[in-house]
Amino acid sequence: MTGQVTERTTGAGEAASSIYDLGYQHYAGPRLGRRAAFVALYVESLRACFGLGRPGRAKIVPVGLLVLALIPAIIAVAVEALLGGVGGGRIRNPIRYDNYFPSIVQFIVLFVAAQAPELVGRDQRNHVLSLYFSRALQRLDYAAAKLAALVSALLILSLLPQAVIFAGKVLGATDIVAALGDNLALVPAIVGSSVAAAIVMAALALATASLTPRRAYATIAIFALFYLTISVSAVAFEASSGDLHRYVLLLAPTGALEGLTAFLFGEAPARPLSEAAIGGELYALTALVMAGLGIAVLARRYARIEA
Amino acid sequence: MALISTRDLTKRYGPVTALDNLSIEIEPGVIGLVGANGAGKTTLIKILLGLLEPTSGSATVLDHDVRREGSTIRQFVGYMPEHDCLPPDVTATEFVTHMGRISGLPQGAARERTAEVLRHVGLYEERYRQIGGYSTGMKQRVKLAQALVHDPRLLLLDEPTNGLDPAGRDEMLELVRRTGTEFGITVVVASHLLGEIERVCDFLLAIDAGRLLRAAPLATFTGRTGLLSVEVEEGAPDLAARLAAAGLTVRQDGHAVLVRLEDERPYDAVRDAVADLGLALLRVEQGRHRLEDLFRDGVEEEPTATPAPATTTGARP
Repeated sequence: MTGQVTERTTGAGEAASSIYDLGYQHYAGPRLGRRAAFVALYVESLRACFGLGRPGRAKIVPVGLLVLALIPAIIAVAVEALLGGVGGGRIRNPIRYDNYFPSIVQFIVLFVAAQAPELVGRDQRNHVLSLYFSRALQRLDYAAAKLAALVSALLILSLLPQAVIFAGKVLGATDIVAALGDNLALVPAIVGSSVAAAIVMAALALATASLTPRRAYATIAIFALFYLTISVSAVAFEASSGDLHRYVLLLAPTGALEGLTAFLFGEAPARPLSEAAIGGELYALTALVMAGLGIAVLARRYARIEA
Repeated sequence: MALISTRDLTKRYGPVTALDNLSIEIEPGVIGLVGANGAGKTTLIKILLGLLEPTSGSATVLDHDVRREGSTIRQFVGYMPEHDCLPPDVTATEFVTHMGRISGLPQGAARERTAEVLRHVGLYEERYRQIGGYSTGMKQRVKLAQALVHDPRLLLLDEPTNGLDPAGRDEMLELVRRTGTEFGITVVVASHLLGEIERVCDFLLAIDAGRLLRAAPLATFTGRTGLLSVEVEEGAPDLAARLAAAGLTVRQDGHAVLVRLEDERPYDAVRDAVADLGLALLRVEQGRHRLEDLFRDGVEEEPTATPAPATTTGARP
């Protein structure tokens, strides 16, 4: 017995030491390169937008905002169900596709203010960039993956509630086929307006956040970018007059996006945009310029950032 | 073909020259890159990785040009920076797996390799804890693990023992040595501590102020000199005079007399001289080069004999 035990102990010791010594094996499998690195970073960043793969406290703000953005949609479905039989459909639901963006825009601003600094500031703060840039990934790949992740997160934030409305409208209708046809006709406008808003807001917020590793500064700067411009442009609009004064409303990114959304649905925007009577093409152009500006600042930042 | 080769590599930051016409050739092995802080070690590593653009000159790593094929090079190179580079709010396993994927490994392979390299660097149960709670020693291990996760052919370590206590240093150096010798990965270790380099490396590159001081196998730096050091309690001047009179080339250095050794004759002369003078002999030993001399001499001789990189370029025997 004793001999056996001793032998087993020795055997285990040998096995342990030989495992330890031969522990390192060379990797002979595929190396997928830059594209796979980009996809991996994109997926990780998109998950991080909602606090996935991070401690529980990191999920509170983004998931809470996603829920808040869904509430108007749930109300809209409830209202639809209640109003469906009343007034023969002449009473208009106050929450619709064409004004969904304005009704949740404050949640989107809060979302980018909270998560854009997390996406880009965290790696700068912890000096992780040199590890990324010393791999297959390139500097601009990094910036592009982060931007794509935030754009995707904002699309989830704005399209998921509208999908709920869509489902509610179609499934709650007496004539499902007709309702499906009516609602499908609006899909290009729904997707178009949401994509434009996601790209513009993500690009501007990420560009701002990328300029500092300090989270608090980045959040304040993003708030200023989206909220100050609203007040400033509204005040300037009221205070000024003349042919060009209405265009000051285009200075606010959220204003330009509200105008673009209304234009894509063929509706009139809310005040004060409705008073300015700006052409839809101008809203589109403004959104394009803002997205381009954000992307340019972001790209420039990452082309030069020290790693 | 050399693993790393640079030619007239120069990097300037405004008026500051970090690398000055550096030409080196590095063959596989464990290579020490020594130099004082600010000598250009980190700059050289970053250029080799393609993280920095050289001002002029060229460099190739694994036969790829650093300016044009940085992406390809970086797939086969692991880098452990000098500074902190770990996010505190993820576990070591999550972080190293993520870095493996960024290096181009498929998901499953990244997980397997992570488990393997974390075990190799000696992180076990702790690997499921958040990095923010790690000691400096554990963080250094994670930094090494992330550099190894994609099984690089070349590992660039910048001051790997930074911030470690003596026991941690020993363990890290042992890891570095094993990585280089047992796994066949060429390791370049940058350090300002000669004692550490001496323990793990078999080839040495010494740089100073961005210029190559010397490149040679470690043995030639620490090999025997042609001097016999005779240390006596007192009476060193008398001994020196006596030996000089006997026709030997001598120099007095404090309590010691250094005698040039060309054959066996000086031994007898020293014995006779010490006995005749009745001196208390403390020690007789053949002098050895010390790594410190490299830098001391380098600095002292610089005005007269500047080492020319082109001629001292290190071709390993």
